[in-house]
Amino acid sequence: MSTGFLLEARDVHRAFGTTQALRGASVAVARGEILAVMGPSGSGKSTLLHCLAGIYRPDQGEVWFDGTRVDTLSETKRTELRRDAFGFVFQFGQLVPELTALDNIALPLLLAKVPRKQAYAQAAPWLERLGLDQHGTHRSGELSGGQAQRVALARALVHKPRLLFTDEPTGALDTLTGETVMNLLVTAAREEGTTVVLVTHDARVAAYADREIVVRDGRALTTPSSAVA
Amino acid sequence: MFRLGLSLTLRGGREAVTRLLLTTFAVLVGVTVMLGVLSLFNAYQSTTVRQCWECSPTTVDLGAQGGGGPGSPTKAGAADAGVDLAAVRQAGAKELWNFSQDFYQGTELRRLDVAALTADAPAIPGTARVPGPGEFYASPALADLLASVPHSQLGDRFPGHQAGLIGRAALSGPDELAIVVGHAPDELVKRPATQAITALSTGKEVKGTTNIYRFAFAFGTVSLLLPIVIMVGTATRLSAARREERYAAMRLVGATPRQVSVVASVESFVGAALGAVGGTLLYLVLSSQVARVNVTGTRFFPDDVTPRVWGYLGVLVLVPAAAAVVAVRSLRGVQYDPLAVSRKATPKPPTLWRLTPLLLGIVLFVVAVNMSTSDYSDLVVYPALVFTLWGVVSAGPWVTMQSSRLLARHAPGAAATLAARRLADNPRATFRTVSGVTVAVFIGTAVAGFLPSAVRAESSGERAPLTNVLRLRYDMGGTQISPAKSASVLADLRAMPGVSVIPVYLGTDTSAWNPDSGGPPPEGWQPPPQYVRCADAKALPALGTCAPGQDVAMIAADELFIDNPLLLRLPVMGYSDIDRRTGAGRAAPVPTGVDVSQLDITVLMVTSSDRAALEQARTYLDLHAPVLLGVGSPDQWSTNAIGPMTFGEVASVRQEMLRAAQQMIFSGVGLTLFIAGCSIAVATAGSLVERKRPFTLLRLTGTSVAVLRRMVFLESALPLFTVSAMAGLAAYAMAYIAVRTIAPHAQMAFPVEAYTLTVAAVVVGALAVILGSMALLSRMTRSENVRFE
Amino acid sequence: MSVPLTLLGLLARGRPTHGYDLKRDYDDHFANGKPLPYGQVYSTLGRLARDGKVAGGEAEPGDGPDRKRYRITDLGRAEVMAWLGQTVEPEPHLQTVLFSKVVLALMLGEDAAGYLDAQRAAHLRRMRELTELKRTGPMVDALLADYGLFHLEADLRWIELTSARLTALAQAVS
Repeated sequence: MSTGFLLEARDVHRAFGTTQALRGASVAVARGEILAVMGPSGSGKSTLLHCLAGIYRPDQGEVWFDGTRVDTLSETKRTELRRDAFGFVFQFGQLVPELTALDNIALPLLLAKVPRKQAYAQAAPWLERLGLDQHGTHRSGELSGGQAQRVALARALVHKPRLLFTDEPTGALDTLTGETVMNLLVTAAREEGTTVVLVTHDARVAAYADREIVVRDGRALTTPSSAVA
Repeated sequence: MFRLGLSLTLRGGREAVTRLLLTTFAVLVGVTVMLGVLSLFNAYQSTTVRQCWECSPTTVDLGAQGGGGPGSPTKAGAADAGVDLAAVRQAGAKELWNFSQDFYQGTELRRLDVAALTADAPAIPGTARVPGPGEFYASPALADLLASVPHSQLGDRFPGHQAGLIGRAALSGPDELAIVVGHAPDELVKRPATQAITALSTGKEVKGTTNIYRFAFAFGTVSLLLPIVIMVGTATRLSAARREERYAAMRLVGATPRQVSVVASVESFVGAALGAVGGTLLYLVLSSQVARVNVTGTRFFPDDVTPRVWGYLGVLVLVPAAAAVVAVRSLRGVQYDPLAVSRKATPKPPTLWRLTPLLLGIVLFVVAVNMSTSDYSDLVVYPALVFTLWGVVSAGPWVTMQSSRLLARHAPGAAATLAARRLADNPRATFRTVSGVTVAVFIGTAVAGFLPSAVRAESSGERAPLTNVLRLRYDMGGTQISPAKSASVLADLRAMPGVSVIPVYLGTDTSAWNPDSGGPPPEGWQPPPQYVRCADAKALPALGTCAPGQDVAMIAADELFIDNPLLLRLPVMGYSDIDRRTGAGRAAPVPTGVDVSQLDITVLMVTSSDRAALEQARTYLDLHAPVLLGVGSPDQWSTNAIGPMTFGEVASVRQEMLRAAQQMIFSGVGLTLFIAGCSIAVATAGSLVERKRPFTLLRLTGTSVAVLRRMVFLESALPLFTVSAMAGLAAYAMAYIAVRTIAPHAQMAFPVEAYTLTVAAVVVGALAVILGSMALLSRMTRSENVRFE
Repeated sequence: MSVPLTLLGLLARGRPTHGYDLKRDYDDHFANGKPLPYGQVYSTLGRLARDGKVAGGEAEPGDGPDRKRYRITDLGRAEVMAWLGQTVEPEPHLQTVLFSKVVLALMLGEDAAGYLDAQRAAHLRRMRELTELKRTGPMVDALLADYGLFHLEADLRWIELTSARLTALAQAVS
């Protein structure tokens, strides 16, 4: 497959038991693009993200990442792909509580077997970059929601992933904090040239994206680009 | 990855430290107990490899020369008390050998009389050489006795002087009584049942109890390991939900399942390794105490009581490895789903079907005890026991659930409701933590109900007066006491203080049949009649009574030498024979015109209320009217009841097995209870750590610590007591059925006091353990600790 | 809010209608407390007839000023459809326009959902511009942009909710 897209899903179906979460969703994400995936609760947008990121295997349909078919890869290969090429920021529950902020940021590098010193050297600048200079030695229980989310962002970007998946990254934050996190996210993604898939139901968050698609009843709708009257 | 796991374990904050401490504690206790059991098992094993020097030796074969007595080569010689010294020397015999069994105050005494024929005569292990004439070697315990007990009671039995001690190679424990007495060859040939041998037996000891011990040890070890494994498993699974969350987060950022496994196992491994090292150190501190533990009823040599190198190595390597494996297994759910922030599913409630194994077991058991005479009963008894034990464990969750429902219905209040809900939600997990106690209670109650009752039945009721009666039988290849000799023997015995003697005289056999011919007795053959003087028999009314004016009575004396006192039928006077199967006696006519003073004495019964006098009589008889067995070595005895034993000793030989089993079972039950208690502590503390957040929230919303404490207490105590009560009742019922079937009129000799004390101690201990682990509760749930990360 | 397009839209339902009935329908659905004066109805209809978007029929006997039935012409229908297809320039206080478009679309059995989707896209496009302005521009501009963003967000939320309720709404206006 040699389309210009970095990530593409075609006619993806996924059911949980008798609940059909996705029924033929198709998405294409261009390189360097920030794509918002919108839709009401239960529409299947998170499931779509999990399928795109190789966490779930779709029941039917194909997922391609940069010329590789993701959905047929083995669990180990998909884990490697997630580790090396993807980053994740979720609403919460993603930091390892026993580790400090800096440990958490360095974690993906350590998991990828980067030497310890190098991993920490690579992780440390992110503290400053995200305004966390004071909090490197704090455990996640000692961080505020916004700080924890910034640590999660740093951790998602520290290994220079090609694709960043975020699911309601500001869902648990107040307006201003959410804005700060989104600003940092977009700025960092632009600087690093990272492609972003941003799942949100919040229009003001979606407005940070270049483009949006709407998931409704398990189908992804690319909105018509009709002329403005 | 290893360092990451290590830093998660050691720097992971208070919660991680608590978890680490709990794991370490659980493993420490488990390892200490395991090492103790292992070393006792080793000590026991080393007794079973003891060379059985009293077993049948290699005798010289005289058959070719025909120089020995008639018939079979040496056996005949023994029976005839005639070994042709010259012939056996020529056939290459190296030693004359004569083994006999004696008793002192209820303890078996093994006696070997030897005479060296050549310079290389085989000596028993533990002695450098064969004792010369007039010398003997005694075991250390016997040497102590010889030094402290008057010679008339013990020392006079052995001619000569002590030349040394028997080394431990010949003994299975430090308390064993054994002696090797040296003789001149021409003196020893005169002793009946002497054999000429070329080599000692090199076989292993074949005690009737060996297999039972081995089985009991294996079973006990397994049944002890199980609670240990459960406890260690509980400790490693602590806060599983929280850890699953963490591992899911790691999976999300790209940790492979293998990396997660490494981190998880490092965490468990560190705790288990610390525990294993600590447990080993604790064992080393306690090891001198372990050597004193009396498991089989006889002590072990202290330096045999050691786990050995492979034991230490096994514990130090296997336990941490096993903990790591358990940790990895408990993570199976997370392995494949990076999003699995544990979806909690309520397991299906246990159904009434869980009671089937228990009912099946009890039914089988009733069937088994009712077919007790059949050979097949073993095939039913063991499945019955297994089913019942399994049934108790299987029924546990159901009982837990039912009791929690009762609690919910009848005990209003927040604490009861919360506790009942949690119990009903997962009765299996709750029961698992108390299952060790349940099993221990079951086994303990069954043993306490059955064994003492069975033991008491053997020496109670009509048999009680016989307990301290020494009985000797002279027709088993020994020489009957001739009328010429009997007068002085009887007079000497009767001269001892408080001693009365009841001789049984052997009537003349009117038939021409000779048992040594090997052929069957002719039709209508009757054994020669045995007589007892009515005047003598008055000393022991249990034997029966004479009619007024009667002088001599027939007596079925064979009956007195049965090896199971439970089957002994009394009275025996007035009968010529007693049917073993039905217990019905064949009434004998009152003998007339019999002058017993002209007859040989075939059986002697000596009674005395004073045990010292009894030993004195035994010593006297050993010298002047010895009972000599027709068959030389213990591996050939068909019964253990032919030596110069009291009826009480016969029973106690028999009971030795039961007592040892009881001892072992109680040791096992005690240890299981201890482990189970620790397991409960670990589980309770673990459940608190796990539920820190909901508890803190409950406190924030105004729930008092007292309510929480009551709730946690109910959660552990309710299943503990209901299920234990069920196990205890089931076990008592089984014991009752068994006792009533084996001895229909026996009373239950349930050790009420000891049992109550033990139960009370267990209850208090369990409550203390539960309450102790709740010390965490109020500190843990202080509202300033609320954090939502 | 365009009265001529709304009246045209009402006529687009197909049936020739008296001016009086048109006014009543208009007042029922779109007046929002301000009834349409008769004069404005007839002058508007007159202008539409002049432009060839509606055609008046024969006057019928009876009381009242004008008992003529009007019907929509092809030209008029085309204009209504074109209008419905267009999104509104995203700016605050669009409620009346958005509202009448959705209701008319539902009355005419047109694709109201599609319209809302298109409108959402238009709103988001505008919000993106404002977000970009906010991210890059001076603080004062950011304040203004926020004002616009919140109002647009309010509209968008209305759009989302209406999308979710379209089925129920269609039953209410038919």
